Amino acid sequence: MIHSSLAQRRTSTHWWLVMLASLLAISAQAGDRYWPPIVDPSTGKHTPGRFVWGDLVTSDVAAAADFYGKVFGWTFETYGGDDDRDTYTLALADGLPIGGLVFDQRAMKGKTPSARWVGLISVTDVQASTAAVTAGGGTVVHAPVMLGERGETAVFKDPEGVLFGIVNSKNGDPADFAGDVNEWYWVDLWTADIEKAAAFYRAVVGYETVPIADDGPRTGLRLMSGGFARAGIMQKQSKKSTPTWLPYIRVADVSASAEAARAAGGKVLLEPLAMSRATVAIIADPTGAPVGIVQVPVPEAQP
Amino acid sequence: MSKCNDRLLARLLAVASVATAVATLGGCASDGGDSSYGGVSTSVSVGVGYGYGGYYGGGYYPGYPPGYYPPVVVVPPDRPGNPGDRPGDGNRPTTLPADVNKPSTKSAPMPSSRPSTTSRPTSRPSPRPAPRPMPRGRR
Repeated sequence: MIHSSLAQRRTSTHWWLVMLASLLAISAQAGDRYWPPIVDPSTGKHTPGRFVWGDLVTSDVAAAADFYGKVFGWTFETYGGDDDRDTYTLALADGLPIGGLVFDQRAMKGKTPSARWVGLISVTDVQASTAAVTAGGGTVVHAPVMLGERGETAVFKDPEGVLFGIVNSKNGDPADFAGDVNEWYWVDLWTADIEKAAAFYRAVVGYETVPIADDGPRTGLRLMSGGFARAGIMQKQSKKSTPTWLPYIRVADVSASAEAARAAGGKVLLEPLAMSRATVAIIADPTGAPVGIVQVPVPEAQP
Repeated sequence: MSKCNDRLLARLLAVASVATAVATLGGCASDGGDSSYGGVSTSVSVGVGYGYGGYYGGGYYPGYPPGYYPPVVVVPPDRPGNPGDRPGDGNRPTTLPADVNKPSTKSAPMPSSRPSTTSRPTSRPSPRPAPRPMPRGRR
């Protein structure tokens, strides 16, 4: 009888030690991942409404990194453990961190190239923005969470199913300058309903909107914050297009970059198109993620 | 009595462990429209649900089977016959405020370029783990 009681007690004790160990292991696994900061060193300043980061979700990080390295000169640092699929590959433009590459584990099982860039918009109150997402007909893909050095962040779909993220960066946001060559420069939302999309992003991010009434028959809006244009919303031109955010990378020569993209295994979806003060093209990396490239004049030297 | 306390404690700990594990997963399955993501993340592995890739969810388009992840399709407008900025051509593929003399650009200007005198902040003083090798390509 005493024997039995002791054995049961040992079993119980052993069992909760196992549970405790499992709990600690789970917590350690969740907390140990290194998510690089949005900006380093810290600026301590936030610029709500800016797209401050881009993460590429892709079925093949190595192929994508090879492409962006060849076309834009980006360099990479990979963080994580032994499992290739559970890694974060930081992308740097001339030494400046600007985004990252992560595996989409489900896409790896599929046959269809399926990558996409997910932009993170700076916000002051992640919780309030999350409430606005659900109130505005969007859905929460990942609820707000403190994510390592990145800060508090969340991922959503807008009412048309377009993926985007928000972040309140732990270190603040990068200094508020337009992107240099090989950095993010602009981002467009391709939507089927401009007004509906504008209302959603106004509520979630707090943008002001400015109509583009002088650019010909194409209608659209620019999203403003802090007195500057941060992004645009435009009507997608084909029913075949999926609604999406399309980020643009600034390049020195659009034609050369488009050729470089082809040579690196990508596609050119829109051949270089000149506008009065910019030339643009749209390319896709070898894993299928579309991205725009834009060439703008080098600003005149500051006195 | 002590045996009962042990059992009770073990059960409470078990419940607490499961609850904490679910809480640790955060809002992984908050979409509600996609069973594949929520099911995998919450029932199989914290690593999947909270891993780098898992953070962005999956099955963005409910209705597609697990493992299928539809591509973003971008069909740009037709290129005009003569490239150039012709007012009224309507073929702009972007809302980029590149036309500096237009009213809408003046009312929504871009931030200024980084002054050449400002060094690029690339020193990165914050501590970080040692990088590991780049993941291998698709196998």
